[in-house]
Amino acid sequence: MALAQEIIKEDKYIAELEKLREISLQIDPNVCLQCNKCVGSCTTAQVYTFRPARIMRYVALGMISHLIAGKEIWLCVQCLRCVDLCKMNVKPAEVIILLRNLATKFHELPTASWKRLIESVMKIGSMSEEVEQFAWKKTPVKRKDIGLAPLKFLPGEKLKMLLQIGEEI
Amino acid sequence: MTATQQYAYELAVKRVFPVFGIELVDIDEFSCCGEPLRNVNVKKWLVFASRILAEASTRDLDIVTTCNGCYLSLNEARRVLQENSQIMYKINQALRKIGLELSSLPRVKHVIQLLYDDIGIERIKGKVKREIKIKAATHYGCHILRPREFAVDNPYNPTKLEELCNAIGIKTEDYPERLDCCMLMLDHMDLKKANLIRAKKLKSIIERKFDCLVTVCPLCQNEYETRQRAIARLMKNPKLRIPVVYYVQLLGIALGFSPEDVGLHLNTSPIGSLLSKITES
Repeated sequence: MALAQEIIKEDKYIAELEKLREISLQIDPNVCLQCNKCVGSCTTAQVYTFRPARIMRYVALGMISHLIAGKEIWLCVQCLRCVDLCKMNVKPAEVIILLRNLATKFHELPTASWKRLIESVMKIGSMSEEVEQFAWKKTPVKRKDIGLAPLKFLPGEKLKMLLQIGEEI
Repeated sequence: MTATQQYAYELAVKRVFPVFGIELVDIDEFSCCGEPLRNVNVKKWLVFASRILAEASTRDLDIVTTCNGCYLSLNEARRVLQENSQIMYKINQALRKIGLELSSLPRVKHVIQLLYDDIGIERIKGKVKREIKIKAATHYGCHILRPREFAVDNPYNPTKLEELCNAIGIKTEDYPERLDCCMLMLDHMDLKKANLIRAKKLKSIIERKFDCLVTVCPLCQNEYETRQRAIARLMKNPKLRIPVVYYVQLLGIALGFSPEDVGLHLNTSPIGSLLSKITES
């Protein structure tokens, strides 16, 4: 019984992942040969026990729930070395992006820092407000102080519409 | 990023390109390219990126990005729209609601392509008024080299930035960490581990006696500038002082602009030592 429930749960995630693949064509973790070139080239693997090939194997086996519940997929820095080296065109970094999409749908973002970044883009349409730049050993500077035109951010209504459109397509 | 934080880059770009007869137009309603959203919702990312493409398309403009992240994000969106006519149709339908249309896909170029491919080394050399006699370490960043279909140069041995540096008198030299990632995305998870990898690069730069680090991406630039104090503590080297500058800033100075014109006074890394070397030469 427990096993059957496990499988049903995993099936839900697999179906979601399939839907996301419509946006990112050309990726297929099922063809991964486990050559581990992605592991050898991985930037994150320099400081973590992080194995793109292993993640691809889990996805191919349909074992997604633990991946999207954990923090591992958020360690990838998207340097795209694995994408470039993969002979089977699996695109591990892009599969990881889709897993992150699933993770945010069913779980919370992993850290406060991620939450701040995403909230900012959703709220004002930019990674940050216009900030005063603290030049080295000098007083803070604003855009108008150095003759740059003021920024016109995307109006809130348009931004909301954009995000709404994103839900619909 | 360039517009809300890295004013130095914007100043320098706006000074330098008109010298070569390239007119830059700001898109009024400014927004992010959507790259951060790609991590949480690829559909929202695609709409964000498509809107920027559409804003340029309706004005009949091409896009030049100052940022590696935007370069990849917009090009990736272009590819998705080009390959999938169904999504293109849906996006276009949606964009019409906010008064936009993607009738054609504008070209998206990075600053380095504009300088090397369109303007060319010879024309740059011809305009140099003051050679900059320093030895610089180059930093490309990831997203202009990978994935391969959007690479601005050979992803394994790029030389365009070095050639551009040499054209204005800067000496360059290969070093093992030249093509390393700036580790921005790991900052959100574990800043210390990210700093460890950045420290390797900065250490190499000190050992090889480079005068500065030259970048072409505001995100990379920001990482190496603002994290330098933390990295110094991590390396137990309180004297760690590496100037980090944009290539376009140095180009501006070579073209005869003053350091203030190209925003060198706005860099957050200690550029004092570099300034004195530039003004001496």
